[in-house]
Amino acid sequence: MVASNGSMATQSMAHAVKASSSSALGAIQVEGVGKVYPSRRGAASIVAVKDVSFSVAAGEFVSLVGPSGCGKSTMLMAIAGLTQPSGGRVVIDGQPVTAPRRSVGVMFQTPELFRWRNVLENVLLPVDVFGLNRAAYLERARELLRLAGLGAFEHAYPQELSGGMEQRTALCRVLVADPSIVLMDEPFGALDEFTRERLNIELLRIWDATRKTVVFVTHNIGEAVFLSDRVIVMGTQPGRVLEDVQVPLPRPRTVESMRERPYHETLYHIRDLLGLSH
Amino acid sequence: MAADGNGFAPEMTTSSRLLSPRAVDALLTIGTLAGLLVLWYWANASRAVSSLLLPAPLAVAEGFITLVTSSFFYGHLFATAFETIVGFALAAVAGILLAVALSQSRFVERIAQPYIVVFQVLPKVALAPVLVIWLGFGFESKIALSAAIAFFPVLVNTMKGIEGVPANAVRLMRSLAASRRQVFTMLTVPVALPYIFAGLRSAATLALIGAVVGEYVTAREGLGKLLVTFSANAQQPLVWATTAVIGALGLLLYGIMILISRRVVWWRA
Repeated sequence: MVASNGSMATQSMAHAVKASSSSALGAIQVEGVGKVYPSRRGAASIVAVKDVSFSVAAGEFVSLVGPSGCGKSTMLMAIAGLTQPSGGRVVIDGQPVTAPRRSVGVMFQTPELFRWRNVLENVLLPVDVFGLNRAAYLERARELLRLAGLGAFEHAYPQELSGGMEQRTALCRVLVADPSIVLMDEPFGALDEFTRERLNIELLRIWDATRKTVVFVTHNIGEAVFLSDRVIVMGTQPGRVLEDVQVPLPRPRTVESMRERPYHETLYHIRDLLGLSH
Repeated sequence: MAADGNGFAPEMTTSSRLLSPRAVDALLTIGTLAGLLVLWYWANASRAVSSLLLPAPLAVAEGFITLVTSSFFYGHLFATAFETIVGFALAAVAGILLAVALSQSRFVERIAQPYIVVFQVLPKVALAPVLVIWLGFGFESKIALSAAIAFFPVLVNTMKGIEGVPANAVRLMRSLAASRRQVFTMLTVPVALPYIFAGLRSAATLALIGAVVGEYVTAREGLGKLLVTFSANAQQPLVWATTAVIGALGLLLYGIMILISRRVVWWRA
């Protein structure tokens, strides 16, 4: 696959993909965000997230990690403008978020490819929704598909793809219209361990080539440490930030990075924070 | 990987060695038909069944030829086909439009739901006499009955299709800042189309039933009227020949719907 001849592909991609990307955009500030779900039929209202603050610099890769119910997905949806916080606010490049915007792409746990569109047409969905000219984005879409190892599948339909290939297509789709921020909600959570690891390595390679701001939600601590510059560890009841952990692993990272001491030290530090026994 | 294509060679079974499975199916169908015809012929020839109850195959064939070479037949055929097609078209347009309108508002849909269920369960054929009083003996009352019967499968299936749009796909479109209109045209319509065509397929045959039953009640022309007349005159071969024509018409409509549906919603195949 592409992973084996990685560095060459990455360099050619750096030109093709990065050229159009606007630099220094994509800074996120989360300021005291809370989310309360109103009570239903007399039950007490649920505080999903309470007073969460953190910031992500442009071009940074940050993960949100925590157990179910810590509000990490809620935080992501608030940044995406898909849910309105009950308190506090999210600011992107100086502007408060009130609705979804084109410069922020979201990748969900399920690929949600459209069965009536082939792989290339699925990747071009944002281009169609934004009312942009398909022809102008065709080369970029094909380049992304090549980078994701799907160059030969542009005319295939989703029902002919494996789960991993579907998520690669979704990854190309989120990148095609060149957002400055990519939000990923457990994108590889439904895949098997082997596919997940391979896709993580490919994701880093693509991120190296494009340098978008990435906020990545997962409950897999190893995955978060391997991918991120910083891991924001969240706890439950109510959802809150436990610690903002720097990952002292040099880049570019490879599978070998997971053998290194800082990887394990950070991993166990986060496990301790979450009260997981070794 | 799923699409790599290094699958296994399919194992050959004894039956598929000589003929393809499709050819086997076709032979079975033709064989069964031939067997039934022989049985039918024998039943009449041996007087096991009275020809009043079931005319001989050759008598029906003769009746059929009499029918299709007569001067009056095509007017009746055209009348029924016309009522069916117009009834079907009205049902299709009204059913789809109402379903789309109802899906725009949860509130309105909740108000309409019980009425839809009641009217759906109601046997529409029972409306035939009323429709004649309202709309007269002409083709209008037949079109109305045809449309009334064909309407509900279109409405109900379209509603089901629109409800079948996955919430996650809507969220994806919303994350792209898509407008309501874009969500509708780029997501809701393609998701609902296979359901709509399932509804239209049932509607095509139901529209024919509506037209023929409407003609039974009272009509100047139409295959249903022809059937009633032949039956009253005890012209059994002609009754059977007309029934066969109605059956062929239904089959033709259904076949056309299947062809169109395969073209339009090919990804469901």
